Amino acid sequence: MAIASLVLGIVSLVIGAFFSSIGWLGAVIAIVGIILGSVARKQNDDNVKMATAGLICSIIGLILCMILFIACAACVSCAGAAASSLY
Amino acid sequence: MYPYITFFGITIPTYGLLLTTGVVVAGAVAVRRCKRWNRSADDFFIIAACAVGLGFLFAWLLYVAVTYSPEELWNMLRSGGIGSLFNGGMVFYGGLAGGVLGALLGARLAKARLADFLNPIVPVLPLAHAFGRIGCFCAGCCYGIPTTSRLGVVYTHPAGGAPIGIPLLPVQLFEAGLNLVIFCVLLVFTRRTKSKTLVLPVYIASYGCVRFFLEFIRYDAARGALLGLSTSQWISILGVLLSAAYIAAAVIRNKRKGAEAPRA
Repeated sequence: MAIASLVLGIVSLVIGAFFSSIGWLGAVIAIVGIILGSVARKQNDDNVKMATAGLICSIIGLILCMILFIACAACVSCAGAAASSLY
Repeated sequence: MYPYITFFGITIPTYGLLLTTGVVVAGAVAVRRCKRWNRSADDFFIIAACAVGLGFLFAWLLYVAVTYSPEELWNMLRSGGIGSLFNGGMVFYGGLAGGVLGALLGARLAKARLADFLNPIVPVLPLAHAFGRIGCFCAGCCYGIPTTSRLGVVYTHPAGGAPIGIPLLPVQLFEAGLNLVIFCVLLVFTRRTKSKTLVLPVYIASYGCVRFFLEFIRYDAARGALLGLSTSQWISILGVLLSAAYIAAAVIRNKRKGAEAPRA
C-alpha cells in the first residue's frame, strides 16, 4: 500500500508539473495516493517512511494539479462570458 | 483586477492559486486543530481527501446541471470527452454537499466516527472559502451590481468575466469578509459547545443567511431563477430551514435531559 501511494504520488506530481490539461486525472490519482498513504501509516506498515513519502508526494501533486487545473477551468469560464460565472 | 500573475516566466491564473492556497491553509489549521483535539492526523487526511475529491466533483456537476441542456452536454462529451465537463465554473453548494458525502465515505474508510472530526474541521471551511472569493475578485467573476458609491470597483482586464469600465460592487470581498467572520464565530463556538455535531448546522445556517442576502447584489449572469430567487437562494433557504430544525431538535432534546449544554 505504501509503494502504491508513492507511485501514485510521483505520477500525480508529473501530471501536475507537465500535463495540466489532464489535471483532473492527476487530482484523482493524488487523492487515491493520499488515502493509500494514510491507511498504510495507520496500519503501521513496515514501510511507514515510504508511506509518508507517498503521502507528501500525493499532497504536493494534488496542490499542483489544483492550481493549474482549477485555474484552467476558471480561465475557460471567464472567457465564456455569459455562461461562465462561478456561482 | 489580476486574472493572471507571473512567477519566473510562468503565468498562473490567480483564482486557482488563491483557492488552492485557501485549501492548503485551511488544511494546515485543521491538522493543528485535530492534534489539539486528540484526533488522528491520518484519519483526517483520509476524510479530507475524500471530501475534497467529491466536493470539487459535485461543485462542477451542479454547475453543469444548472448551465447546460442535455443536448449541449451530450455534444460537449462527444467533442471533448469527460475532461470537458470540468472546463466550466463551480457551484459552492454542490461542493458543500459533495464534501459532506465525501467526508462520510472517508470516515467509513478510516473506520472513524465523523462526528469526532466535525469540531476540528468545520470551522476551517469558511476560511478556505474566503480565499476562494478573493480569487473570484481577482479573476473578475461573481461580481456585484453597478454602483455609484465609493465602494465601486472598475475592471479593466479583458480576460476577466466582469463588464469593463463600469463601477461594480465588490461583492466577492464582502463574502470573503463575512466568511472570515463566520470562521471566527465557529472557532469560539467549538470552544464553548459540548456538542460534537452542532457546528455543522450552525455553519450551514450562518452561511445560508449570508449567501441569501448577498445574492440580491450579485450581477453576474447564469444564476438560475425560480419565482424571482436564484438557485443558490433556494438552496440557502433549504439549508437554513434544515439546520434550524436540527438545532431546535437538539435544544429540545437537551432540555428534556435537563442538561445545560446541547449534546446532539
